[in-house]
Amino acid sequence: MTLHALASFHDLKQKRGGGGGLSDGNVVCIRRDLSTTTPAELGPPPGKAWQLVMNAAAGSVDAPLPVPGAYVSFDTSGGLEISESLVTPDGTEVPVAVESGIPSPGIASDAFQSWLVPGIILPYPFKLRAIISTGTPNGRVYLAVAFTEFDLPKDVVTD
Amino acid sequence: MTDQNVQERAGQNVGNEPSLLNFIEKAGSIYTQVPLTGVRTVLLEGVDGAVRSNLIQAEGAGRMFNDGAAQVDVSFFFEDGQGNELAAGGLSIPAGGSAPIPFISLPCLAPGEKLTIEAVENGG
Repeated sequence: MTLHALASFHDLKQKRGGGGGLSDGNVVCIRRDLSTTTPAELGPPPGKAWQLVMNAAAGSVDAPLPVPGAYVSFDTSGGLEISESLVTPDGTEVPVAVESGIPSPGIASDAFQSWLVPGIILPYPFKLRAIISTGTPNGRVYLAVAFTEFDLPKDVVTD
Repeated sequence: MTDQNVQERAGQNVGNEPSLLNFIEKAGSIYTQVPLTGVRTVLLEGVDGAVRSNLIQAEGAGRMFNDGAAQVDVSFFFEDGQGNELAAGGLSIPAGGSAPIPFISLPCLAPGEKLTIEAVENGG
């Protein structure tokens, strides 16, 4: 007797070779460990813009998706809340959502709130900032996101 | 193919589908026979040169089938690429039954990161 497991995957476009970073239509996979003390930040490099990679199967830009932007939790304590904010070009931190109901325990992911939908493009120098605002995790909790990266138009100020 | 399991990879190019941004380069499935002896078996693994992703929501894009006459207890693990193996809970599958793989709704797997599975027969 055996257990038969069938697991599907997509391989997303990623630029081969070095130099220049990702180019249009390629995907960047990001992980950031979350803590209760130091905010995790992520954002595109100068001249680039990120757009959340969409769940093609779902086909909707409105539904809050479990993936691809998600908090992945190995926490065993439960009750965590994660605060998200958008950092604007002038450095202003704008609170945008508080995530609760982070799954615990085990490998599980919890979606971003619906503000960060696949239709939103995050250009440099905008940043997403996240921190565990309630609770103390017993185990690793991190942010895992798949973005596609574009070059910004030349008429957009990027620095 | 590994020495612990039979693993087949089947890929098909879907790069020309009119999906948003056309970011998907290839798609496929990993089929693995997991022995019921508690041996850890790799289910999905990040590869060089691609962002290997499971972008399917809800149950996850995977299913397990128990072809035996006894219940099987299944455990899941995530290896994060730095040698840290993080337990991910588990579930039981009744004899002759099937169940979704619950944990693979991860956005992406970087090279070296693995999702693994182990199974034991539960005679009770």
